[in-house]
Amino acid sequence: MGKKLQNYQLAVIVVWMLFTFWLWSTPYQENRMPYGEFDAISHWEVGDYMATTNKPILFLPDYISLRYGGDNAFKANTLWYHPPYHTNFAVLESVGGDRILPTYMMNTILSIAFVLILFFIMNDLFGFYAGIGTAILASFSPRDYMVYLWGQWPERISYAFVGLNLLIFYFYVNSYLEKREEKKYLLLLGIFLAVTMYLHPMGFFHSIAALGVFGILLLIKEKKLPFSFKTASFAAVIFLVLITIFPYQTGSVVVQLFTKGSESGTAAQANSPDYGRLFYWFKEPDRNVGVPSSYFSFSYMNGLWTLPFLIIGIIFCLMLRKRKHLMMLAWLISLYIVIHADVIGKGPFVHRSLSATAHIFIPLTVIGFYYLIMFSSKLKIKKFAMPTLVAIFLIFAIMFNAKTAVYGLKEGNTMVVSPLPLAYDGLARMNQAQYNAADWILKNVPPNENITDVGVLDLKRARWIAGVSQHINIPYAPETQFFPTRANMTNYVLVDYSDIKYVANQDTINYFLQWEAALMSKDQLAYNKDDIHIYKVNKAITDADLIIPQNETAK
Amino acid sequence: MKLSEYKKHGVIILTILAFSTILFGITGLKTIAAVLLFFELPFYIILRNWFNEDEAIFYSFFVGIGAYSAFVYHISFFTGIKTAIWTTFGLLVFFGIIIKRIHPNKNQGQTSQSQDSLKHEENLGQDQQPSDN
Repeated sequence: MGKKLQNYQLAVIVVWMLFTFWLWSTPYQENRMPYGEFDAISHWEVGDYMATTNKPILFLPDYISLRYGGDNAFKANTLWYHPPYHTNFAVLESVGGDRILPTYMMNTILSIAFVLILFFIMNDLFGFYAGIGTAILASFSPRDYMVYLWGQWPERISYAFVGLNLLIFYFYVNSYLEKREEKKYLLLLGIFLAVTMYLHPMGFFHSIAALGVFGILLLIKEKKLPFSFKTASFAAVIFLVLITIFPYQTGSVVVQLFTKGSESGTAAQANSPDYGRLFYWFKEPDRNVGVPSSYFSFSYMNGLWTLPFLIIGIIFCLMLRKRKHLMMLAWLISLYIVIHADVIGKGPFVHRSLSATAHIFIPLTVIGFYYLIMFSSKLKIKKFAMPTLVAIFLIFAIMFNAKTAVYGLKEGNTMVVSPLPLAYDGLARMNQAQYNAADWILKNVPPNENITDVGVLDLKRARWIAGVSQHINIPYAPETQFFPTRANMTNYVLVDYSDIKYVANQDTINYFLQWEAALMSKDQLAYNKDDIHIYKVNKAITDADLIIPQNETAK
Repeated sequence: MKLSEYKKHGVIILTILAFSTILFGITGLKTIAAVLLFFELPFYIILRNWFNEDEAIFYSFFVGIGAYSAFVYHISFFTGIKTAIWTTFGLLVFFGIIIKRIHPNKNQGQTSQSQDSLKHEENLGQDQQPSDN
């Protein structure tokens, strides 16, 4: 925020951020049904539970605890992340008056915040054009929008804070080293670090690594400590006070920090670190870590055209070594450290930190352009060189990065990077009929009752129905490949034809219908709408009382 | 804040609200209005006592998404979420006004010193010259 923006500059960045918001919100502009992987469900349902019950979560309700009850390493069955992130959703859901849209809008705002932060960093350090160039590339960063779509939502904004924390520290350091210390920046950093921890611990540890490396580089350059111990102590006190107001969640972070092979207990992997990985920027894991192979490709995620400029940017930073260049290098080095943390036993989800790559690669790429343009301005060919470089940037940014985000990236006939507007379309998300049925369950089924799902396509969809209905849902056919017996059934059974009619042949559907007619005919049909039936089960009737159809083809 | 600044920010806020209404209707409008009102405004009022206009606007949102909800979460144990939203808002705005009374902002309408030091780098050519930083 060092440079006050001119009105036209302000207008440009406002318009660009609105465009970015529009682009990133395309997945839910037409279809307002919730979507995302299991992580998305968990983040949405925590906020939604607080909003719909009008009370905070201290101990998890059963339908959330079933999966996440053990994720807080300090106190079981409590929130596994600090509450503010999800409370944000609860606030907006309460005020917005809708269970889905406010959460997704806020998530979009938080997930594109890194574009704005990068703009201000680059605008402050290298001028407006570097800022807007960075914002343009950042808006189309596939790794950022892929993870945003999947559902690792708190990480997105937490990683965005790495740059913000560095910038604040940079402001402070400048004032301190120029003997006019502005304590407010270091105190604000204490607050920001706590907020980063609230949002996600990985962003916090990345920030600490970045600040540490930046501090060391400054110490070497300036030959003196770049901050006041006294002011830093005040900032540390602010930070400690703020994180201790959430003892369970901070306790969980501390426990995991001192537990080798944390997060999912892959002790075997933690005990045999792959030191060879240190010689790669990031080596694609041999095992399946739940992300597509394209996620690990520099070419797909950044565009191979950016590589020369990225390298030039790094070289210029190494050559010039002013404080701002050291800050950029510290950011890059810290990213290398966090994506190799598994080597010292802190994994195994280091690939998640790879999603913060664009946050420093893009600025360094733009810095490469910036100094090439500066360099060319001193040449006789400047009339040609400068427009050529700007044209190269814009053409490639539009033809590769923007095109990938809007239309996807194909290799042959295979879509290797999906476009934002088509994310989770069609059967990839829960449908309106399922949402309505789940909402009916929420309002009509006692809270302690579980639901048996039959015909729900997959476990993820059953979890979305569980989230919306706020009841544990136990899926059988087709997810588990067999139908429940009467003994398997809970007191309520949901039979869902709303998706299966699009993916199964008529024989299979007929078998479903026969099964339902045979097993549920003596139960109370409590809900019957849009190809979804919900029965209140009469537990006095057993399989022996009924004639059950047999069909091996119905899977 | 000068009148022209009020106008400028007013235009930006109205543009954002209109945009969200066009995209997402009344729910979109209420959501974005709530973001500005709860996460931005109280901390802008507080931070304005120490930071210049642009800085206060920028930083307040990033403080708000952590601190506002931290207050709401704790207060809601006693009042419920809905009441806590407004209680927190009232308390923070009140706090900001009290601070303004006892700590008048010396940076009103000015750029802070540390950022003034950045201005020398605005000129592209200066990066080629030796510098003390």
